[in-house]
Amino acid sequence: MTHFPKITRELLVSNRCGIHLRVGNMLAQKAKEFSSDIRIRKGTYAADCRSVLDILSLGAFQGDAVVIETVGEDAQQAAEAIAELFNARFYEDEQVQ
Amino acid sequence: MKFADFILPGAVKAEITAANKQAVIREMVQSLLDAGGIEKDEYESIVKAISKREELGSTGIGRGIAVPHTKHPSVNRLVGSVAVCSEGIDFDSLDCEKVYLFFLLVSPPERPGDHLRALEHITRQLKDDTFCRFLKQSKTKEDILALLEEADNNMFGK
Repeated sequence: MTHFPKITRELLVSNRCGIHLRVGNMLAQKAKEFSSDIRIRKGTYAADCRSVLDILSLGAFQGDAVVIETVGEDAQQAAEAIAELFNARFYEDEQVQ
Repeated sequence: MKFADFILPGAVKAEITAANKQAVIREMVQSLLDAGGIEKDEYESIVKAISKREELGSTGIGRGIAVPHTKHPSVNRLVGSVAVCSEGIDFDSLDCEKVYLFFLLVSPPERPGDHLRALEHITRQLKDDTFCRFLKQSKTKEDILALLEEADNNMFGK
């Protein structure tokens, strides 16, 4: 069995409204484009990035640091794609939640 | 944040009569109005705002749960209603399944943190299969309120 190293990225939640439902959905949809296992960790909580319910239960607010962990064949690409969403502040229109 | 901080006990309903997405929203906003959580003059405006938010993407987040919501300047604190539908309603959910549990939230625009804390609490509790199953099986308002209180008191596993 092939062993894939875990890739981790520290990211900051920088949009004003934090990881709310629409952002959670955006992350879950992106995660589903990859075969790798993708987790978002905040403190002691870890969420499966494919589950909106899981992601929302993190309670990730503006200014919070989270860690993305990816393991699998396309782990590098997955980590980059998720990081891109964070860095783009989830393309948020701050007026709509 | 706990359910007791934002769910108005008078806005909790078992067995809602609504048969479609729009009717659910109207019935739940009416619950908020009946419970004194919103002003009568704002009813249509709040229904419209929640419906508009649904157009951006369904708040049916899977596992039979939906969290329709909006920010609205007419409220000065986060208010929420709960509804259970044992038959399930098509809510255009992300997983294409029917929705049995509804948490409707209206929050002041300037307080996005409260909305996020409420979502965090709702989803953390609903990740617990026992809580989720019992809530879906609730037949009376009293049953729902008792379950919410137990969840607030950390009586379900995380």
